[in-house]
Amino acid sequence: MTDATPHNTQSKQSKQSKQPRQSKRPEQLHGWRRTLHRAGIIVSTMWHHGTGRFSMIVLGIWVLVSIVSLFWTPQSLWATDGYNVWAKPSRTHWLGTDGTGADVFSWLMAGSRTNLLIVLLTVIFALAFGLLLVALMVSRNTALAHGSVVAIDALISIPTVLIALMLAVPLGASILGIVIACGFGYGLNLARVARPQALLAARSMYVQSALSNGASATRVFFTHVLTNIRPVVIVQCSLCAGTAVLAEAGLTYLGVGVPSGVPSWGVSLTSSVKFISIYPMTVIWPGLIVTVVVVALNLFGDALHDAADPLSNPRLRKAQ
Amino acid sequence: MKYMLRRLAMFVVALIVISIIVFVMLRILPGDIAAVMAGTNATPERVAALREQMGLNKPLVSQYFDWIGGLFHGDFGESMLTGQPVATVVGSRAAITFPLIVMGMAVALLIGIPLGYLSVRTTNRVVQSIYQSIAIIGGAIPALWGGLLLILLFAKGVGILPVFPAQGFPSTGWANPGKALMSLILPALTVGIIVGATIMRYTRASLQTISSSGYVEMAMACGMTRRKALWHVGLRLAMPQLVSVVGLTFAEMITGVMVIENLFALPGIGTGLVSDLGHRDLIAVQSELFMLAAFFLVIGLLVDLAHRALDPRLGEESND
Amino acid sequence: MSVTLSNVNISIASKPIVHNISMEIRDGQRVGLIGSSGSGKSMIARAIMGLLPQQASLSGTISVNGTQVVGMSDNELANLRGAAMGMVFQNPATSLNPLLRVREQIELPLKLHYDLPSDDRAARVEAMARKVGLPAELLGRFPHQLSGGQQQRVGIATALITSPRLIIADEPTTALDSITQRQIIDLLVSLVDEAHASMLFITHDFSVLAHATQYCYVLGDGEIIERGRTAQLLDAPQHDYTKTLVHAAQTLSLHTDTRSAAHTEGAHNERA
Repeated sequence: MTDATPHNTQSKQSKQSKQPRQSKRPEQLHGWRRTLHRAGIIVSTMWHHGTGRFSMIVLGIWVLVSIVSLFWTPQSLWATDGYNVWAKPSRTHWLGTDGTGADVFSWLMAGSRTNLLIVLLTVIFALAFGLLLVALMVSRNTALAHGSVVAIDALISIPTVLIALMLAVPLGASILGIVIACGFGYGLNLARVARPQALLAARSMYVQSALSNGASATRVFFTHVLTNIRPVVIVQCSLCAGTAVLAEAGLTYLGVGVPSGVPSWGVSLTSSVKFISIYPMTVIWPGLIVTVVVVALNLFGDALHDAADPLSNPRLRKAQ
Repeated sequence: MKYMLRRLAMFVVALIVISIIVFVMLRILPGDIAAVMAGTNATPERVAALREQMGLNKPLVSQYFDWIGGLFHGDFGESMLTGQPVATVVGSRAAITFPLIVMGMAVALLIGIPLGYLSVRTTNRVVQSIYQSIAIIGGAIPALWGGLLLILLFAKGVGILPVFPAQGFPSTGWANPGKALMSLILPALTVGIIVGATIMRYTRASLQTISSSGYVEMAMACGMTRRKALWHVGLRLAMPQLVSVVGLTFAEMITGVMVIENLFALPGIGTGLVSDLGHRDLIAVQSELFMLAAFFLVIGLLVDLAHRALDPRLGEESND
Repeated sequence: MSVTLSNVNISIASKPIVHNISMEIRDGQRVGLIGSSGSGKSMIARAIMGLLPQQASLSGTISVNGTQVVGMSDNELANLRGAAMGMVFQNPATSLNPLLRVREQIELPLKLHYDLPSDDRAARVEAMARKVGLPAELLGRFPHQLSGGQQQRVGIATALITSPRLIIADEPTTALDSITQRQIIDLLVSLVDEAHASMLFITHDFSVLAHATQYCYVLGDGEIIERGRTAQLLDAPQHDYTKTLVHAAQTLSLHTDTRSAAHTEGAHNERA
């Protein structure tokens, strides 16, 4: 409530512009200050909800650790402790060593950045591919629209792991393989989930009127259709991010994910399998990190969805 | 009707496209495939013989049609390593993977649907958030880690409660069903718990929407209790959607199944595919990938048709 | 059947919806409850039926034939619902189970409350369908294959199949066009009277109320602000709020009456 004063001028402005309700149009968003202001409201709304705060803290730590690991880890990744190849957790090796003498904690830290990269690339790829499919499905060309719907129905049943395995034949174990396989699968998923609302928007009266006023199809797609499916897209992206972290772990274990020698959580998890007969409790850590991060990613999507939707966030409504 | 025809046509198209992709993936390997397959210390004669055997001297298009033609006649090629027909090898592996999938799905449905139903039925806030946490955390566990934890709890040798064998499949196979079943219980539980959490989340989401709808209210007005209406009307109305979801989860579940097979050293399809890939047994890999993809395309087709059959409203709609 | 409500309070998620309401529906009487949308009238109907949403809290007494239903378990309430009291919903398109054929929908209350042989049940369903004017060939169809008027006839048949002594109609005609509205109200009134049942008729439209009820309560902001015989209320409304409602009804019904008279003949061909 402390930031109530800056809203007032804004809300007056938007009232004058007499826009109907579903109108978070770019025309209104133009000023970067306005965008920043809205972003501020969204972030602070999320911070005030338990799940939102939890997810922001976890994801914040993740990004921070990724950056720090570029400059510093407790032990060098390549320093092997020849005397202690199976060291128990101690002051020098916080989580022990992995059988080759490499420090488990340092590898987990460094793994953060690889996973962050994979998640970002996967989400970008899935988003681009998914939105392209949405555009095809709502296009006025009926053959194209029907064809893409059925094609998605058919292709969505191909598991991600199969695509990753196919890609692994020419590519070997590679980050690119994970990104393409996951991005492809979640792009299809996003398109399928967003379709009903995209269709509703694309066939609506305001799109009709925009088109008859001479707006181009591309412009209509970006200003109207995209704005309307944004809530769905946010949730799907967060689910996609979470599943990408999980897929990285699985595919890396199968030998078609992150190549050995590159630090990642999947690599740590894979090497932790060896611990089970030596000191089982160390198995807990890599998996726990993955689980907590995936939970945080999923909660983040839900919290962002709620906070960024003017229908469920009264503060945002006031600022409109 | 129109949709079904279109869907069937797309199934055939997808099958062809997948076969081409699989084929191309195996031919865009850099260098001489025969040399790659034969290994580094193979004699030139061995490589030449292999090239002849694989028909690599022929043009690509006729190689493709030779392969497809073989598939139509049930000739999936021979494993380069063992010389056994791929079809036989895959058959014996499926005898482990298929029961594992069925058991895993059964566990998932037994966990997911009742818990999803209970989480909607309860009015207690605390209990609700407990159910919610189960759904979110359960779906965020990496399959590998889940398997490790279950081994730590229940496997002979390392477990706190040593009941089940930790690894491997009895050499007697299904001739000794009790023993075979015992070795599949932990793997099936791992897969089932993780997938069950996803199914629970979807059951909860769709039941929640339906529970506040007029349909449940109407059933109650006719004389059902809330519980009965939720169970009979709510679940039945959610069924078409759930079938779709289960179909999709099924495709996602296979990543976990492959990981779990490797972890528990079960000689199933996943383990086999990964080891064939590792051994560069590309003829086997090519046919196995295609068979798996075809299997999931069929599942997808069946799920879509079942979805339509379960909802009379979709029956005669012209689709859209 | 007589229903008495005294000092009934309803709140949803600690937000008060209905405040200290007292009402009476006598045996065989048709009583109206009128108010604008959001005034809480639907919640009163749901309170009597035990259909309030789970986060709602209810206090006061609602006695149905002398039995207090507030605080009853869902099991006990379910025994009353569909047997002693039936409900007709506002929008049949969103309340008739889309997976049940018309026949299965109408026989549902019979199935739930009475142990009848199936041919007996089928005969009752067919007789009921005839009463509400549903052609027999529609019994095998799904709700989405019917017109709005036909769907609401299915809703009425379902509510009446067990001959309940109390019918609660929650804006049963709001989703229908004005001609079908009239037919549905006439049907409902004649069936209720024929069965000597009582009816609570909820609406926001006075022109509908005049046809359907003898006595009525006006609900504004969660409180009863006026009550009396429907004819009297229409002639001489006391409260400002009632006056607005009556005025609105008069201007509208002038319009509808002339049109509906002209169309009554053709209206039977409403099958889509």
